[in-house]
Amino acid sequence: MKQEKSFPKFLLPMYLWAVLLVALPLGYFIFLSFLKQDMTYGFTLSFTLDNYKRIFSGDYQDMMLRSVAISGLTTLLCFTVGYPFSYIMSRLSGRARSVVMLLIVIPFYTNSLLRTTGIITLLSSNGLINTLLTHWGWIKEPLSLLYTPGATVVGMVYSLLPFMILPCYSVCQKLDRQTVEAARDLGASRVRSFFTVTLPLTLPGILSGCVLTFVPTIGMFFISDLLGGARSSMLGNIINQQINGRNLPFAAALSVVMLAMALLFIGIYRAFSGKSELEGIA
Amino acid sequence: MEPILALRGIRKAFSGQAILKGIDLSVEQGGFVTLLGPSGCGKTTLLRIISGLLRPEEGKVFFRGEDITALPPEKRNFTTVFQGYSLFPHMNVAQNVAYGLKLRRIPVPERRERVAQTLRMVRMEGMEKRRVTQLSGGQQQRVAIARAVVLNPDVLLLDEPLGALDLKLRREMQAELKELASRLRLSCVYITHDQEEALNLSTKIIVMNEGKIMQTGTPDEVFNHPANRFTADFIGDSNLYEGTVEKTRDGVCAVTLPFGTVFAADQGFAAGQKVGVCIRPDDVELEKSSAAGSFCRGVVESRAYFGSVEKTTVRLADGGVIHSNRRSAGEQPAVGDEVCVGVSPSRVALFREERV
Repeated sequence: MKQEKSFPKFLLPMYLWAVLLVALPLGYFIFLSFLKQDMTYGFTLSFTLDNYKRIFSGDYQDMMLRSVAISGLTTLLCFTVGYPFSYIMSRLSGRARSVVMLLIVIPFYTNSLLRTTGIITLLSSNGLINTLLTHWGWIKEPLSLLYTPGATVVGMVYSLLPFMILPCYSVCQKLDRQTVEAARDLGASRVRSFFTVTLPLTLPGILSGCVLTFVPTIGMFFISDLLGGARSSMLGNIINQQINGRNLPFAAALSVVMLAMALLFIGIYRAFSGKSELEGIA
Repeated sequence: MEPILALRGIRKAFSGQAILKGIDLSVEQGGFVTLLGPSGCGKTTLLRIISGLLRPEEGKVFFRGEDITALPPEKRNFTTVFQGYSLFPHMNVAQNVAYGLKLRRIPVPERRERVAQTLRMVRMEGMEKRRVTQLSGGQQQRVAIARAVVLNPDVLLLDEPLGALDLKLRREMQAELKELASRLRLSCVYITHDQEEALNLSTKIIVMNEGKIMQTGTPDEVFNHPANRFTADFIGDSNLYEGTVEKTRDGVCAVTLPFGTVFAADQGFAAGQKVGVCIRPDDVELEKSSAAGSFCRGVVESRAYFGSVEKTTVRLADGGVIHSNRRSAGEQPAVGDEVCVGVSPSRVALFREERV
């Protein structure tokens, strides 16, 4: 065939890579999600929609909503903390900026299990916060901070904050400050110029940051495992449980749902920003 | 008449470095005042202080006699055409122009009417829906002017608005801007480092250098009567010499230069005083034979052709040179020819030579 002749050979490893490591596993678990569970072999080769029916039956509705709520709250908090932070950081002098950047990146490169364990020592009933509050006499009994959805959110915000900060910082840095001054000059107050110029011009970075925090939180399980306790198990935790419980087809179906949610969110991003690539990543 | 805008004793420093060292200026109603100076002389900083985007460390800004130094930019009805335009890239042409009107809560029908009218004025009608990022430099320029002018500003500030355009477009826009400013009776403060632009547009030129005002005057004054070496050198081509006033009689002043004695109109200098002498190349006449008004001789060193003018460099007796842009009446002197150099006394400008 003509096409095969013109196929550039040096691209072959890339295609091999994509097929072996992306397409095959993806196809495999989508295929798996339509099969029946089998205790001995993991699954049997008989087609069924039961896995999906079970997900949408209502038993898992609360868990789904909680997952989305926790992810959404995490994203919102990351934005609330990360955006002003990025904005201020982009206005620092070169030296101060690289120091702050280093402070963001160091925890980013630290093992996340370790960091999550660190949060336990902060939040547990004999942890730092409770000890201090009791010591100052503000509280009599230690507060139960750990093993709550709140603790999960704290852990997730802490882990994912860099993913919000980096794209936001990237757009804030690119923002031409003179356009903001032009707005002031034409009669806009500080607040008005922020909402009519700064915010719209940095929106691509904000949306990109939201995708980068929301999508991983949906599937993250170890943080809610360690910090959240039973009442705040999320989609990722259920998938993990199903894999450990040898119900691979059901775990696969849950994963497909998770993937669909992530794709939906990225689709929303594309529609809003008109871009196919995430801002501030390249 | 009270000036519409006045600055008194403005000082500003950035991280300990003085940028403005005591600036006084005033803008008359309907005046076109140009701040002219090399880059880094503080003119943009001064403009930002007028607009309110910067606060001076010392000094006051007055609008119609009222102190507005502490007023934020949005409370001053001054608008700026920024260098590089700074249009809002997320808005189209009409939205950019309507931005200030919207903030002033002008009702929609009037807003639409004023935007359309202003865009017509800058010859951008029919472009309302275009994204500003798709416009050429000249078009962006027009939108930036429209955005500032549509608000009927008390003072229009322009920061090198034509700096990014090519020569031909620049000339065109200069003419349009001049016409627009006089039609709308706008009071303008204009920044440029281009002396030709300044001479063409202004009613008043303020020559600045290193944070200080070197001279304030009409285009004619700063061009023909420079007050100091900086102004003489910065504005236009010039032959600059140092000399001593020999005597003054009947309104004519004789000044001794190292290579001869030149006559100038009496400009109030006393005999024995050291003065700077500025002779524009356009006024230097070269003749093969000694003619009236010639004050020294020299040898033609080089000739350079620039289309409309031909620049001749003449080496003088003391080793210095004088440049001439004039064509001789008869045969053009060739390189190596000896020539007589002359200038009309009325075209010789004297200034106090500041000793550094």
